[in-house]
Amino acid sequence: MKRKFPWFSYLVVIIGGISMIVPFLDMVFTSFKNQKELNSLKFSLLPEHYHFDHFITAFQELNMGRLFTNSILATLGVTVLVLLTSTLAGYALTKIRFKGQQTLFKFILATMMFPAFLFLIPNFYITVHFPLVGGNDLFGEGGNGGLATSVLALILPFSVSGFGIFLMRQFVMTIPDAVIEAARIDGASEFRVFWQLVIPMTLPAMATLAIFTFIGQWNELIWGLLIFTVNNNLATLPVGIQMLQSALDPDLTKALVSAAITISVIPVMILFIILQKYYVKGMQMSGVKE
Amino acid sequence: MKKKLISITVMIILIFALSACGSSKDSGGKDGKVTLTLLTHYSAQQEDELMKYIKMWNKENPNIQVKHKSVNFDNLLSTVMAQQTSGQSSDIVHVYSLWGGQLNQSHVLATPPKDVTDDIKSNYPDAAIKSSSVNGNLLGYPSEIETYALFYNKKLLKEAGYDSPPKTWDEMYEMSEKLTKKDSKGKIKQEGFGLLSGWDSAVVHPYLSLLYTNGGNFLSSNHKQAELNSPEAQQTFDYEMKFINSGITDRSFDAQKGFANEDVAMTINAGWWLGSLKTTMKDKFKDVAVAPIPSPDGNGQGSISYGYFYGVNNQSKHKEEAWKFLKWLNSKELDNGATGESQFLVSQGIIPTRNSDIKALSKELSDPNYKPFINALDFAKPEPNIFAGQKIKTDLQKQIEQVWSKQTSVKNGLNNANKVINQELK
Amino acid sequence: MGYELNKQIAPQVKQGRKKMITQQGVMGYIFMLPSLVFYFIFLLIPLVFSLFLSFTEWGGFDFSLIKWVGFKNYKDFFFGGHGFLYPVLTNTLIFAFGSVLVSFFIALVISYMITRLRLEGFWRTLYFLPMVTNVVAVGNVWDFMYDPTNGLINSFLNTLGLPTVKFMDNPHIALYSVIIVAVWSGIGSAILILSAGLKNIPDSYYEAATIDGAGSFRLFWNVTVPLLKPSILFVLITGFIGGLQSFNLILVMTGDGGPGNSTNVLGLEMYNQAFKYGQWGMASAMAFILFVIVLIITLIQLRVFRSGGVENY
Repeated sequence: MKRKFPWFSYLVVIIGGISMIVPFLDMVFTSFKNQKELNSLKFSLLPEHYHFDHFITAFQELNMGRLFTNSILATLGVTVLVLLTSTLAGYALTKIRFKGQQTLFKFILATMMFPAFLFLIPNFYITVHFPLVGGNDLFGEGGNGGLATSVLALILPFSVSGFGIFLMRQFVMTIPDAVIEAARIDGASEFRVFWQLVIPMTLPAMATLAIFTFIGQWNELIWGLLIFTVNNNLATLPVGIQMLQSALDPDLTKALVSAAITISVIPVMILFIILQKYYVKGMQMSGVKE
Repeated sequence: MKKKLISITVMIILIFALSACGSSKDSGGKDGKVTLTLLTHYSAQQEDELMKYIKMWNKENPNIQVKHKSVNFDNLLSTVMAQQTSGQSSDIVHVYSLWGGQLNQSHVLATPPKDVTDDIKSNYPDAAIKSSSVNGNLLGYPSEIETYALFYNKKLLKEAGYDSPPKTWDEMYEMSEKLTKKDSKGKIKQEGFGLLSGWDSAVVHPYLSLLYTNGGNFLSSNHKQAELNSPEAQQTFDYEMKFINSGITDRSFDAQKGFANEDVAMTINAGWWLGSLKTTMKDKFKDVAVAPIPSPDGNGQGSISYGYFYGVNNQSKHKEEAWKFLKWLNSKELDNGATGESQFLVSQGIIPTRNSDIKALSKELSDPNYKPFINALDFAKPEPNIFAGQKIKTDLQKQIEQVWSKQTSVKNGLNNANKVINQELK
Repeated sequence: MGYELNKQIAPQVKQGRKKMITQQGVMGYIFMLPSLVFYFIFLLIPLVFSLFLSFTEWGGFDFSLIKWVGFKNYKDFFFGGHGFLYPVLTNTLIFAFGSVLVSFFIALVISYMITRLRLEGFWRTLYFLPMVTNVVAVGNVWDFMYDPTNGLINSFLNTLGLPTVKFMDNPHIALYSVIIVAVWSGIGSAILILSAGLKNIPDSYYEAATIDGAGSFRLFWNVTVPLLKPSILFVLITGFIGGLQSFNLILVMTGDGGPGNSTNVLGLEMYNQAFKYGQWGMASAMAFILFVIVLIITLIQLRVFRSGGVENY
């Protein structure tokens, strides 16, 4: 296919690309500036001198290590559980016939449309009054925070996703029924069919779902803020940075917040740049296609 | 294969169960030892000061240990409410007086014992007692009371040829006009009079303080009716708008930062700001001075007051011990005759409220900058801490901001505020 | 996408194997069990409880203080004069439509262009960066850049000789300033989905059209867009569902939806009703009203696309 040099496309994509990257540059450079530069009425992108003390303060004040651990544990936990529940449900909804299947699927679709806020308060009750965990008795009383005593509080309420089930259902549907029937006739149990046949064939879709879940959960803020109120040890990265805003001297905050943000953003970013190739491929194979 | 799937599932469950066991809290109480948690909004640096007195108590009372926990102010109310939900409540909470109504309605706070109420009633000024009571019932120990005054920069005033702060509204306007400097493009370099913004009190309190100097009122005395449709309210707002319309006050200029940076000559703020200015401005702080808020004719007085108080949680299993600690912190006179709480407050540049403390610390409080705030205690009107207190404050804030940004006229803004607030008061 | 509500979903099982069917039936429930258990605990119970709460007045934690008020909250929402309809609801719609449609159009153009460039992966990565950045970070960085005194954007405008724009302080601009940020951070995932869809269009389609003498714009409009419809629908539907509820960014950037109510949206108002004013009943009622709005907009989109020929989404 012959094409002339797409200079217009280059122009648009480059200008767009610059506006994508500039905020990050500003953020990184701001975190090196000192108070005098931040108070100055004139803007300059590059700092006069590079001050590293904000990074040190951010690490000390914010307990970055714990924030990272919480964020990683919570995000991985949710991702694993969502993959598990979605794949199982996706298989059941397409390849096994059972009563109420249609209704169930419509219900799951509808759940995607409920504002997350609806579940915020009741779920908070359920989490802190969960029976038999965190010292609670059978009726969820008497303990010191129920599920909120552990990182489970950041995981379980997100463990099933309407979006996830929907995505997996769409993909499992593309597996020919004949393949599964053949395995069943050979005497394979449903678990075996699922594990040996369906899982390997849905890996690309699972990768896509994993990425979406991971990103969504990594950025979660509101639930984290709520859980933080009963257990300060469970602060995630977004919560920790949000808390930093008013906790410190207003003049220093700008550089300090930038430093904290830089620390929180860069590692994930590098990870995603490395994985970039794979998730585009996964996305492409999985599924948003006819 | 089935086995493998099951074993993986079991492993995942195990991992999370293990991490679940990781943290468990010590609630105490078994060996007669009680641990009380105290929840405040104090920053890390303030915490260090407060801990001095908590440690003193902990040493004297090995059986009643106090632990301090802090969240930032924005999250204090939601933290108290959320903790209440979870049964994880702190035994002692240090809360903003405005929330009294809401906390009272939800039965969050315990009624103080008689010895505590007696102590408070006979040792605190009226403004402090009022702001820690709802419907005449005391809810806890008043800690800090804030009033408003005019902050100004002596150096900047002198540069413009003024030796003393303004006394009347007209004086303040004329001086601000002279004190405002702009660059060739019309961008403000120095602001004569700055209006704070960014949070509700910053927007609402200076306006109400000015309104009080003008003889106006926010709510009727029984708190059933808003009075923002009065001519006084209109005049006061017109006066604020004069600064904005003439370009003396630029709303996007951060007056709080600007004042610390010596780019703002005058602004209205509460007493706690002295402490924070002292830290940020360092040696430039010597130019900061405080005067009563000017009134239309120079004879009126006016300021809003708000405060904090220490309450004990209704759910606490150790209410008695909690009150014992609070009584000690707030009434036990230490070596220099002042209470621990008051020494903590003074170290933060905040004026204590207990009558005896103001006397005992007269040397520390002799700074002339404190005087306008202390004097204002006599005439300041407390912020109404009714159930809808936070809601009506936000309503007024939003209307003021809309008028400031010229989305609506002064008249409409005040009428709207009045209407919405009346609805909440019903 | 191959999704159709009305189609028989289960595979056709041959007749005469009744035992297998019943066994399968049980297996279906077993496979659904993990999802159903979580749904029951963290979705169904909360849903019923919230629905109940929306007919009550309640300050927050003590169950004994719940007061039944019937439809009062719903009535108040529409006729109470609290400004919930205007500007809060209108802001919600402007925010959702603005952020979703703008980021969709930009993403569509960019992903189409990227497929024709060298270093495709590199360009795409640039646009993905905001996607992995948490909302607190995004909001703060943009707040700094919008600063009228020493922010990046205004000093750039000033160098070009343009006047300073008070992005977050001017109530007529503030909402659009937030929308720009939402677009910036949302563009990545739209590009991700759309480029996957683009890659699945066989080259032969383009070649055939080119031979017929189609220019690049007509190529885009007549070949790319129709074949991309399922991906487009997916981007729009999930975008609207998210955009209508979202308030994280506004919470981070403005704190309270200010100046005035100019950036206040339903999600944020709910949050404040509950956590700031202790009005859980009203907050729950708002959540249900928002749900109905999301539902209506989603159904409209499905219908429009179905009549536009996307049979099986």
